[in-house]
Amino acid sequence: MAYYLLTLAVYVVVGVIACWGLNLQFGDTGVLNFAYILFVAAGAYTASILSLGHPNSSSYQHYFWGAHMPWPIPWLAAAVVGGLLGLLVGLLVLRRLRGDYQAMVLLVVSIMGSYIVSADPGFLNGGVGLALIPQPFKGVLHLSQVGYEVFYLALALLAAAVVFEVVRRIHISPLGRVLRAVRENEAAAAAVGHNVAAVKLLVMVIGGAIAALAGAIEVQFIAAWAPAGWDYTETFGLFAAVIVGGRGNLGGVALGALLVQGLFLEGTVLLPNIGNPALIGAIQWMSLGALILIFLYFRPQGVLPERRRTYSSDITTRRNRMAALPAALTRRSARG
Amino acid sequence: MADQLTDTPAESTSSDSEADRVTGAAILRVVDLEVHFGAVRAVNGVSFEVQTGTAVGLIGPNGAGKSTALKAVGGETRPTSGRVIFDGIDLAGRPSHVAARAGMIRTFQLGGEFARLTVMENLLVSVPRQRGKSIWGALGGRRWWGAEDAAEIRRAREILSRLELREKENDYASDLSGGQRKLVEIGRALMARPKMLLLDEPMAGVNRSLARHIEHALSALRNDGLTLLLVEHELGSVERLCDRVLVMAGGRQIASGHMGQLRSRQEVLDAYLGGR
Ligand SMILES: Nc1ncnc2c1ncn2[C@@H]1O[C@H](COP(=O)(O)OP(=O)(O)OP(=O)(O)O)[C@@H](O)[C@H]1O
Ligand SMILES: [Mg+2]
Repeated sequence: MAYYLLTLAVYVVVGVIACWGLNLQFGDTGVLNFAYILFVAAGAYTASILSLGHPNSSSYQHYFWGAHMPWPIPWLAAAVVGGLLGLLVGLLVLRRLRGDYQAMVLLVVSIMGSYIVSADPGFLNGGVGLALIPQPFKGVLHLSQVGYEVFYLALALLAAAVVFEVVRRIHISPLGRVLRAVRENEAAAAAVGHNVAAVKLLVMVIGGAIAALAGAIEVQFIAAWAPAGWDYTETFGLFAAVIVGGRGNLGGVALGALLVQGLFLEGTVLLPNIGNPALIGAIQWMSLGALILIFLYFRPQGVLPERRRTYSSDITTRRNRMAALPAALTRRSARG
Repeated sequence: MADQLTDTPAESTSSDSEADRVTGAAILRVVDLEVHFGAVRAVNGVSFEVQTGTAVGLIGPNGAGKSTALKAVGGETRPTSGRVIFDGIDLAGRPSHVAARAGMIRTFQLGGEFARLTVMENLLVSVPRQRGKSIWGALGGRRWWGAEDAAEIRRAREILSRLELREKENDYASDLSGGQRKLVEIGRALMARPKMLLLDEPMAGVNRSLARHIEHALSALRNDGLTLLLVEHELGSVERLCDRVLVMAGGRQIASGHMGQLRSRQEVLDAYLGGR
């Protein structure tokens, strides 16, 4: 049971990180990146081939290039690749097209990416996917299985803390206001001097890097990665988490990831076996769809809505308010 | 109300700007502007100049092409042909953020506010070249951009007080009345430290007392030396505010001059009567 809960905890942390990246794009800036899971996949593949070693070292799986790099290089490289992919996709999609067409094209890009990887067995081992991906420090630590899970959870939490700090700083900054302005009214944001395409490109890059980091963390935990695991439908699971939790609210988004990614999608594994295993998957997706609809109808702002930002006339008041927060948060804001 | 608005350092120099208004060079020159939507020639060869520090009105019946002309000048709509020379730069065909950064800010006929941003945030969005607006600046944290931001918040509060919106600071723009939203847009434009405002019907659909308030606000800005190009249906306000008025009908510029003279011109009356 401890083993299962730890596994679930790592999944939830990965989900929270991914949802924070998606929230930056969708919640803050209003970019409907329906290709989001593609960035998670890009990070996962990057981390895989950067830890598997040279392709010739295994005969049963094929990939175009590989190296054996120590942690944290696979994670960092994954983030860089995710950011570059965001730049590329953003340049192709965001500059010319209107918002709703952008969303459609991004969905198509996601499906195409999946087909391309599946179709070419020499690129990233095709539809079978990569397996036996080495885990960081697994060989040197000599921990029990549960012990290693605890260690890995700590690594994931470290990454989550870094990502939280990045998105928090953007969130509270004047840049964060610009992102929300673009979400609210692109023409007006442009009319007061903001290059809307550049702003969206920026969140494609940063969000892409965060998605890819989430993918890297996930893949080194489960040690395998295949196209079936990053079907375009996964993107909607992440959107559901952001919508349910509360778009534009970092705590809300984390809560949404916990509820949807943790309890809803993974937790259903705990349900009594009702016979047909395919049925469980179908029920999952149907109830996910229903969940999105219920929230969009009855509580579109989510469980924890975006907070209204007020500015005290006196900066010291804000300091005092900060001091009332839990110690960990205060320390973090003092550094900021 | 007007006293409050002119209660700025610029007041003492208003006589200087009065002189500028007579002698000042053209800050905006529009030459042979055309905007076609397929077969519709929304703007069909319009040329005019706006002298620095003056207020120019743009009037005409519904569908005359006023908004389209303003959008083409401000960069939101790409002109089919023609030149838009603002402060020495040809902006024709350049996107609106380029025009805005050059100092020309446009307000919207409808729905120009950031609905789910507070009034204060609406204003802060348009502060130009702010430290915390680049990604590296934002990652630098509040210590890097906080002091500058606090100064802009104070400036925004001054502008909000002048517009009598100070107590609405923390309201979402979506919770304001139509007239208050127009005021927020004007305040937001001012936060950008503009050289010129392009105003699309700032008083339309606003109750009379608020409309008068907006008119006074614009009049005070003009007296402070800000250049205005103003589309407006309320001709009394246009007459009081504008040094010169252009009349458009069917995409063309059919007359120009002082409002008082234009009232008696037959072609202007025809355009208004025919266009309704
Ligand atoms: N995006 C567009 N596509 C096609 N036609 C357009 C577009 N925008 C405006 N038009 C047309 O161009 C003409 C001028 O419209 P415009 O909005 O500039 O008029 P206006 O003078 O501002 O009128 P109003 O006083 O009603 O605001 C109209 O016939 C309108 O239907
Ligand atoms: Mg109009």
